[in-house]
Amino acid sequence: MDYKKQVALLLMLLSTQVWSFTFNNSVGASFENDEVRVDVSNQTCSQLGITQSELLSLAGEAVNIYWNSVHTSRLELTKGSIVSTSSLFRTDPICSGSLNPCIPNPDLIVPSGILIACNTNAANFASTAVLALTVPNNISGDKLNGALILINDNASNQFAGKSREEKISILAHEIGHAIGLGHSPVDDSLMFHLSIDTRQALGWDDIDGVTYLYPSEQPLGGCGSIENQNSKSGFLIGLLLTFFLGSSIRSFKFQRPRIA
Amino acid sequence: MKSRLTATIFLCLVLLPMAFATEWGQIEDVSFGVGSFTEHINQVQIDRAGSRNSFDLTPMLSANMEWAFNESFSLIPEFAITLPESGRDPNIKRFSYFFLADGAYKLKTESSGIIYFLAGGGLALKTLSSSGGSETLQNGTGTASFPLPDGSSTSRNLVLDFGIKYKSNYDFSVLGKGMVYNLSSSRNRSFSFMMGVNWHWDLFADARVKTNQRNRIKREEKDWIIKNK
Repeated sequence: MDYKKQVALLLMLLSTQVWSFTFNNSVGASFENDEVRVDVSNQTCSQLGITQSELLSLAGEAVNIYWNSVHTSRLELTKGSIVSTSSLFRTDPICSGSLNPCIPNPDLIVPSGILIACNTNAANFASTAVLALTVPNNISGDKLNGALILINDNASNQFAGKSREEKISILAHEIGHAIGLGHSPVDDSLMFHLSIDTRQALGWDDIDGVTYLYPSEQPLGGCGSIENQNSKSGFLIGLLLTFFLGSSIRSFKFQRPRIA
Repeated sequence: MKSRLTATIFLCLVLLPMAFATEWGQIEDVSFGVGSFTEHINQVQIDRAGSRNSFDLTPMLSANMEWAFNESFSLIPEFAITLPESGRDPNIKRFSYFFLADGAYKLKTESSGIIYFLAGGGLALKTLSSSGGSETLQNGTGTASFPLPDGSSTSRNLVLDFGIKYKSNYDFSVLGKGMVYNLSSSRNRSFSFMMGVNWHWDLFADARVKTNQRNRIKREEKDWIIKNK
């Protein structure tokens, strides 16, 4: 039969796609809230050639273009504000001791959400090729409370020379670490270890990673509006009303449709 | 609010027709299909150059049942599942599955096949799982060991779908169906697409003939009563 040939053709065309994503902490920690703020420190970024407001604007675009676009994720990152922080965020190492493994510097703990700051510490940026560093430095069990992103603000930094689009993707990569993701081994993913100037969107690894850590939970959970507005009961009432409406309509005498 | 709106649309499109279906209609046939699923159309970067995905061939199996209200309208509940796939790391597995219910308007063609115009909704789920371990990857100027997930995670999304199906006289049909995730959210609204070939089994032909006979007798009795009043 003709359709057998069609199926054979279809089966020949089937391919297996591949994915891989990693975490940056051993417990797979994630933010508990669906909505997480991304703030910028008020400490100056003297070598980056941009103001705090511009940095915040780039961060806002980074979350909207990349992480907020995943339909299977409940996480919504929001552009926060410029917040007042200690000058240590500009000068101190992000870890106490070595970077790997990293014991977070207790002076730079972020109480909640994600904080971006410019930093000049030589221990953080041993090479000019290192554009930024991120450590989720406030973790309780598998709950992520806060994460710190430090941008290399040394005179020889390579961040300043990047295009606007690439700066956005670099920030998005660091925000990926801040929400708990590690690197991906493939260059089509944002979480690849190198910045690529043709980056436009998330790759499969990124989407799977954020979906794993922050799965959407529709219809009854996951979307903050349901939980926050206590509309779970509203949904159940809607469910009951729908069935009541259906039952009521059915109780009318309709002529039974003819079936051929 | 957005979720409530989506849930309300879901209820209207799926549950209300199902309430009717239990009162009216009958099973027309059952079908099983193979096809492919394309997720996140034009939203995923697929190579270093910046190309985006347009059409994937993720293998998919499906089973559905047609509940006919009459010659023109049916309700078609469907279950579909993509084949579990291994990742770049063989420990990572991923698959999607769907519970859908479509209303169908049927149009008989001159060549006596039937074109179905489909619209409905349902639940799309995606499961990702891994058995842990770690992977050594480049990190800054050196390498670092990155943990792999240990366990599984399933995302759930309400979806609206629409599509078209052509059923020939040879008990098979071809189908194309689009799905909208997060309709009310401009932030992460997304489109997916499934296409496939279905084989139909008219498992309830005898029962339907009997039901039709019974209905015809009832109608004739009713007409006779009205006529002789």
